[in-house]
Amino acid sequence: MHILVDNERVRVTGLDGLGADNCAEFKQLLKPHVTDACRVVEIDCGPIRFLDSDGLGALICIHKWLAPHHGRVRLGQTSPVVRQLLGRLRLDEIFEFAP
Amino acid sequence: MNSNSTSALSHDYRSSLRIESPCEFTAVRNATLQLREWLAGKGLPEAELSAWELALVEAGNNAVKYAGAGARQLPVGLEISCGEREVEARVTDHTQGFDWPSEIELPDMESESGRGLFLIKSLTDSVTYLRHAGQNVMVLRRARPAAETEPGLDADRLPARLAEAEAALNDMTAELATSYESLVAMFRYSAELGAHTDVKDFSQRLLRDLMQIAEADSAVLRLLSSDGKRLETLLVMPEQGRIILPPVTLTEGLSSVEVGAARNRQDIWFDPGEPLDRNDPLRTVMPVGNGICHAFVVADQLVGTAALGRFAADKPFTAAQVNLLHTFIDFLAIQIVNARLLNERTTTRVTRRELEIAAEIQHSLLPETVPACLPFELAATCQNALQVGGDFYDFIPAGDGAVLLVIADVMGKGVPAALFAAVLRSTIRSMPQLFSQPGELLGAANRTLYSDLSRVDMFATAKVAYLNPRRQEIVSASAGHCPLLVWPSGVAPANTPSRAGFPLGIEPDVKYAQTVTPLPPGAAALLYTDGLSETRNPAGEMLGDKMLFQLLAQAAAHTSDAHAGKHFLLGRLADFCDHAPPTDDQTLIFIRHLA
Repeated sequence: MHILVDNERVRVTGLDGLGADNCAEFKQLLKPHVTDACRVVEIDCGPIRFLDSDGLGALICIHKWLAPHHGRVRLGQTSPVVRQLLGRLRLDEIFEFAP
Repeated sequence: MNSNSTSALSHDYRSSLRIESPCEFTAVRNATLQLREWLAGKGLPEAELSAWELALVEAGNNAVKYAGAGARQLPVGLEISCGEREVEARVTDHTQGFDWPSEIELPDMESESGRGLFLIKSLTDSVTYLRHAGQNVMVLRRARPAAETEPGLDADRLPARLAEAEAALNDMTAELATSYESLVAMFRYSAELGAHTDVKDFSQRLLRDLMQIAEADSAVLRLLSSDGKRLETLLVMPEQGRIILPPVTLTEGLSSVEVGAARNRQDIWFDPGEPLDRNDPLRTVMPVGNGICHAFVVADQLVGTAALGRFAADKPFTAAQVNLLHTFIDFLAIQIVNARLLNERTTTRVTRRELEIAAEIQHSLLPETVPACLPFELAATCQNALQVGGDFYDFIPAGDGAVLLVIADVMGKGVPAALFAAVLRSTIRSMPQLFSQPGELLGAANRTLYSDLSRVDMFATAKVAYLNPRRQEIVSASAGHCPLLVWPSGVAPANTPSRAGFPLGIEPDVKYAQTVTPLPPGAAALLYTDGLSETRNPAGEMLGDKMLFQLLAQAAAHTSDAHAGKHFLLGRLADFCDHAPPTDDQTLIFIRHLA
């Protein structure tokens, strides 16, 4: 997983899965970069082939870090499986989607 | 050997894969990937594979999240079976379990957790959560989508397809027959549950049936020893060889699969690829072929291990046969635990009855009436503790208005103590010529009883007192018994005498000194057993002879007759121990000069 910080934007790439086994580490790595100045955390979901409820919990956690500063979590290149999962859990309104 | 094993067992109509994963998120995740790959091999489409992968991960993660410290040492079981119309998964956890909710609501959108059960439910057609002591099983089912229509079968392939279908039907018939046989056996054994059954005989019959139905060639059943340190052999089958398997110690027998299964509480398989260790004692019974060792527990307590072996190297036990082993042996475990509980209950009943008999004997020893001995008045009591002891007192008219007072405490509890108390009472009563000489009387009683008492390592303390109303005195002798406390009017003794004389039954020929104590008008005297003086208060402090004497002095000062004095004394004793029930028999004789 790679984290790129570009002014107000934090970009996460190379994440191939997010679940109970790695969500704590994911949050720990991202936390230092989600500062007051951060407005968007953009996660490239293209490589993600697996996401479970704990992984979703981690995404919601980041959303909550950003919300007080009007920041957003943006999910890019989401696969149909991820979209379907978010829809199934009625979480498709909480995140932004990018192509 | 597959301690963290994958056992893939195939039939044409249904096949299954079982993985026992360490109780960790990463391990569960890896296990679900293996299951997904296996399902892919069964031809499930991508969407189905993703659904099963997610449902299994969610169920497995729950098993890890809610496992207590002890349960984290136990594996999470993930098993999936794939039929032509349905896929079924079983996830075994060792958590406290929970009641599956009738309705599952999604949590608040910003909640970071609480979506697992919703996902499991929405990804499957049915979910059943079976709770058991020590482990729970979540059963997930989802219909398998209909296979795409095959291109028209050509006539040449038809015989082959028919042969396949016939083979599948044969397997199904065989499995149904196995299920039927096991069901019949379980019904038969159910009738014996709760009955007084010989555990070995029951186990033998059950194991014989299990071997037959599961097509096993050998079996070994071991039970955990009462100290929990060893596995001891109960049965080795077949029995023709009379093989003796020594016990294996749980801390040392590391080469033993039975020890491994017992310590980790999980099944261990062995086969020609991963055979038993050279030093494994099980090799004497199962030298070649396949086998499985199952550790069985009841209420989270290890009961024992059962191993099944099959000589044929190319015929591993099927999933159905392994399930059969689990069912039979877990059933046996319940019967073993039931038998132990029944034994304990019987022992408790026998003990209770013994105590009742002892209490009856002790009660029968006490005099029904109190003889008149004016100007003295007598009152007595014998209060039993929970465990009946050998206390008794006796009043024997001794002629010329005198009364012989006897108070004794036979060492021990229950029927033996009560019986010796009866013998002592009879012995003393049989020597009326010595009533006025208590020292001589105790010496003679000791000589009579010594051989009987010493043979069974028992002894008794006793105090015999000749109460002489004419001379207004008491002549007493002691065989290691509590002192006679005397409160003459207005005079308090500087100290109380200690226990004097050998108890009866210690030495064959003992001379007992006797003391003459005047009992002037208004005097009060107390004969008692150590259950009184050794009464303890809630802080654990003992009353002692000296404080008992002070209570006697108070009783004498506040009351004017023996009955009132006795009740006063008992009331103060109850106050001292905060009304706790006595831990030893409490016996006393209160003597009061009424003038």
